[in-house]
Amino acid sequence: MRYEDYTALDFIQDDFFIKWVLHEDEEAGLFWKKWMEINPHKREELLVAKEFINRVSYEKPLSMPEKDFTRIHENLIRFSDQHAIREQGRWNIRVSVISWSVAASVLIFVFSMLIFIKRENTPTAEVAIEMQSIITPKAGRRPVKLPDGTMVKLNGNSKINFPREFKSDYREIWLEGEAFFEVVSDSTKPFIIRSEDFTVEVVGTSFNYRAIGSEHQKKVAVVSGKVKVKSPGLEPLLLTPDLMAVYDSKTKGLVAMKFDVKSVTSWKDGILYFNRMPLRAVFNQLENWYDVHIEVSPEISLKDIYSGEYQNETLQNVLYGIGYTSGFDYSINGKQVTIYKNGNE
Amino acid sequence: MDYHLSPDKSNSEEQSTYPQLSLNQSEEKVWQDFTRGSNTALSFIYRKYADSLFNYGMQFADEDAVYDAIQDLFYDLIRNRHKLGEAKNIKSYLYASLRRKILKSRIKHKNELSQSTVEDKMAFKMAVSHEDPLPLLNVNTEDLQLLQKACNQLPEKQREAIILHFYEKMPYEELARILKVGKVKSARALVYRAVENLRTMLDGHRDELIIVLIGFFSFRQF
Repeated sequence: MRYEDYTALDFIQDDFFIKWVLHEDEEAGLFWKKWMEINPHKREELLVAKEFINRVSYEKPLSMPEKDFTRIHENLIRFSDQHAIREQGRWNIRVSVISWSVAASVLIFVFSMLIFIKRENTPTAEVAIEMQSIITPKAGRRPVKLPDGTMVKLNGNSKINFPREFKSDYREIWLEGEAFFEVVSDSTKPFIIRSEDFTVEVVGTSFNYRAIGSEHQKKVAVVSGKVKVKSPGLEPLLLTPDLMAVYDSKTKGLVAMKFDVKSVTSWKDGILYFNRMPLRAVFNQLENWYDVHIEVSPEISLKDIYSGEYQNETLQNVLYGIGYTSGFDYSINGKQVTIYKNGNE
Repeated sequence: MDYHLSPDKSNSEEQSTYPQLSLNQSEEKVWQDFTRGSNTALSFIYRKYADSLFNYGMQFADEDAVYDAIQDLFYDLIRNRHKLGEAKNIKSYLYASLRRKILKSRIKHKNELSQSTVEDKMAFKMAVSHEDPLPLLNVNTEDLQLLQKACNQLPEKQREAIILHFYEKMPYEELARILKVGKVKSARALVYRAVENLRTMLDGHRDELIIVLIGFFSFRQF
């Protein structure tokens, strides 16, 4: 049926007409105004239809009494807060600060979210907060739960300090060593990790962070997702997964570099992962992992490269595996391990 | 963070404004913030829709049931906030959920409801306004009463369809969602049938009467 044959009752059912009257659509408005000019005899029907639609309303708009409105509102907020604590999403944050044994201090970051790094550790105000301290011996990996529900996998030879309750506007912890964090997301309370030389503030998802205090070089390696690295006085750096930001304190520069995610983070699953690593570093890792002291005979070249992977294996098995391909034998006496060339004794 | 929260609830001017139908930019942001845990966003959504939800709910239930349903509805939203996707249409989503909750509770308390309560609560009962905004056309009290009678003879669902479509400005897709009629064309058919019923009931009287009178009626709830 054509518009020219429409009655008011037909107009009120027409989608295009409603578009004009109810939704104030410009295009529709232009059409109908023009159409009215062309068809003046239909004007009254049109206007009545329009009138009908506009006048459909509650005679007396009912409104919730103030006290009930407020009561429900308060219940909702309370429920929301209660629920937030129980059901918050978790961020996967692995934090790795690795210290190299080279003189220069270097920070390496791979972030999955916005992180602010301050080079100096600005001392916080002295407040009497009850702190908890957890220290792991070498080879003593253990999980830790923070007061906000954040799960931490603390690696061996590490230390973590945190308050019994995160009371203020942020969640602050101190870390020495290496840890894998699964941080409970809370956009109102940034998660801050302090270590001797710098501070890392997490405003978002996941990253790896490791800080080992005594050594000279510090690496912060962080993973997954796209990330912006900001450091005071430096150009921000945009990163993707498997890229690390390397901060060199000597040159004061921030540079992006590829890195091997697996080597940095496999420890948390109990995996020993060596990827083209010189034997020196391999034995170093074994010392930390198993809490032993390794003495290597001078005939063994510590520069030899080794690649291999072990999951939850005993030291004997690992040494056997490495020794097989690298050509050495070993003996274990309590915490003392000796490595010597095949055939010798 | 401020989302230009609506003025005092008691502001009557606010009440007379027709609620917006579709999401605009700022509402999408609000919804997103809500799913991420913002209480400010939660408050905004509550303040914006509580009254109209109340209005709507009161069509088929008493105060207490409506309060419970509204609160429950928001509790569900809060519980599932992380899982919620983009808001295609907050309003019809809320309406559809409220309706479902109220009807569910009605079934539960069916035995508790006294006969009189059920009868009094004829949902979406309409009343014809006595005001005369179109002085050019002749209308008398009898005509208005006739129209009122015709409107109230429409099946409940058709009355609801009319009010949701014309007052709450829900397009047919959302109407279908709220009324749970499956297909969009079924929602359209509801409105069509309502209007045609009116046309039939008022048939025999002057066409002009039909047109004009329909322009006068409004809905009243108890």
